[in-house]
Amino acid sequence: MSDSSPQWRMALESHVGQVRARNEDYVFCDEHRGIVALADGMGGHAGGGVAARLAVDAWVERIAACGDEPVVERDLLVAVADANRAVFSAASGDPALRGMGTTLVAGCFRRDGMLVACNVGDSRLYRLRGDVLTCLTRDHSVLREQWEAGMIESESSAPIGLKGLLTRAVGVSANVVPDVTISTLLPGDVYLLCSDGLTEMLPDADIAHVLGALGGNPQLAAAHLVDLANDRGGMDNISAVIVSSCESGRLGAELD
Amino acid sequence: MPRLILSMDGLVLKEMVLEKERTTIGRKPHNDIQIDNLAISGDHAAIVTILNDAFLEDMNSTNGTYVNGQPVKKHVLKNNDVIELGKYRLKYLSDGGGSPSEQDEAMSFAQVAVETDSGLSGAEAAAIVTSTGASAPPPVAALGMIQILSGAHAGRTLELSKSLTTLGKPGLQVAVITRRPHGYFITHVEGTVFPVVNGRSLDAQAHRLSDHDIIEIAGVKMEFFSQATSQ
Repeated sequence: MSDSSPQWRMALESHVGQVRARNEDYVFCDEHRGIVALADGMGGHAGGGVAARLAVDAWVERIAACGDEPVVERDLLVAVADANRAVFSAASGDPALRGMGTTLVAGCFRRDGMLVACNVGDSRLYRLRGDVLTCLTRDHSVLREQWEAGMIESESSAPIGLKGLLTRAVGVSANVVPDVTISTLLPGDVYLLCSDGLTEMLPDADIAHVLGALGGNPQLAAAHLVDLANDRGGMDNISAVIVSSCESGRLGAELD
Repeated sequence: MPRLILSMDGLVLKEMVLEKERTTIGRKPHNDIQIDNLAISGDHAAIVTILNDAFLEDMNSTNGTYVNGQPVKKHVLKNNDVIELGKYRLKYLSDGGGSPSEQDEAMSFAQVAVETDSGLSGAEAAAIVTSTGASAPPPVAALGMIQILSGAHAGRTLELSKSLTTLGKPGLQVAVITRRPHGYFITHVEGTVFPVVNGRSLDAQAHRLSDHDIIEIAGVKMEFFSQATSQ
């Protein structure tokens, strides 16, 4: 296999926020294997955090088992099925965990320059390419579906009670089908996986600004996104995983 | 009942009581608070009032919604918060003008103690990081500035109005100055040489800037200072 793809550097950050008592997000990255995963758990007394961790661990284990073979769409589907089974059976077997579930957004940065990713729920995958920030995933949320059906003008104009309601989640029923995204990686791209605790606090323009300016230092970019979300209220757990091949961020001021 | 005072250029235009559960603000006539100005989006923002709490939300407006100088998407309003939409200001007063005790309450709400779920910390590959900044000091009204003291751009000033400003020489040394509610911070971004503040080289940690600090990045000296913004 050719190893022509750029070096992807990864960093992650997860914070409880300013309002919640527990952090029920779970994040993972493995630079060597090119694997990233993020889950935002919910439900049950302690269940949310457990669900997030079970889902990520099961997904990662399955993908890591692919070894040097390139990860393909089928592997993603099987890995999500594994994650679903892990959470669903744990929830069925323990009354304290009943009703737990989690979002999952996860992907593999393949050595042949392809990104294969999957998502369930409202955790997102963004790509910054040049100046353009693109959300590569579609939320599985009631608001998103109402908006797509033309029932509401914007996702933020809906009643507050509908916010955060998911139409798909990992571990709440026997089966779940993820969306799969396959795209070409280009040198200089910066990717962000994040929970809704980040996107509910920061408009896309701010996310683009941070990724553009700090893309050369993924750890700093992740930390700054979490700081910003906290500074604006931190209403939920905030998690970010950054994957970057960007050598140098854009400068606000170039010094001579 | 919480109230909003609408003003522009220091001139009070209107006072409104937040009596509905949802109060919308925008240029279109169907809004509860209509502001007929092109800098205001058709549906710009909304305030949802639940019992004694009011939540401000930007409705993906073109020019954004600011509270006390910071752009917000969602924000829990506190007594005396100033919402800015274009050139208009809406001052939020929680109840009966807001007694000092209410202000204390609003502050302590923002300072609710937080803890991370310790059950997650054992993971090998995943790092759960607890960052600082759990308390919310009053927002900075001051705008930070950098004046370049040496090199080709000596004499130039740079406004630090964004949440972060990167500066340096690409490939050689870059630093970032971040604007946070409790002040301005400088952090090393890339390069083998770290920024120098008042003659001392920084480590990897963020360093809080004080007025008249002398910073050296990529061999260029500059001074940090702040100016009170006109409220």
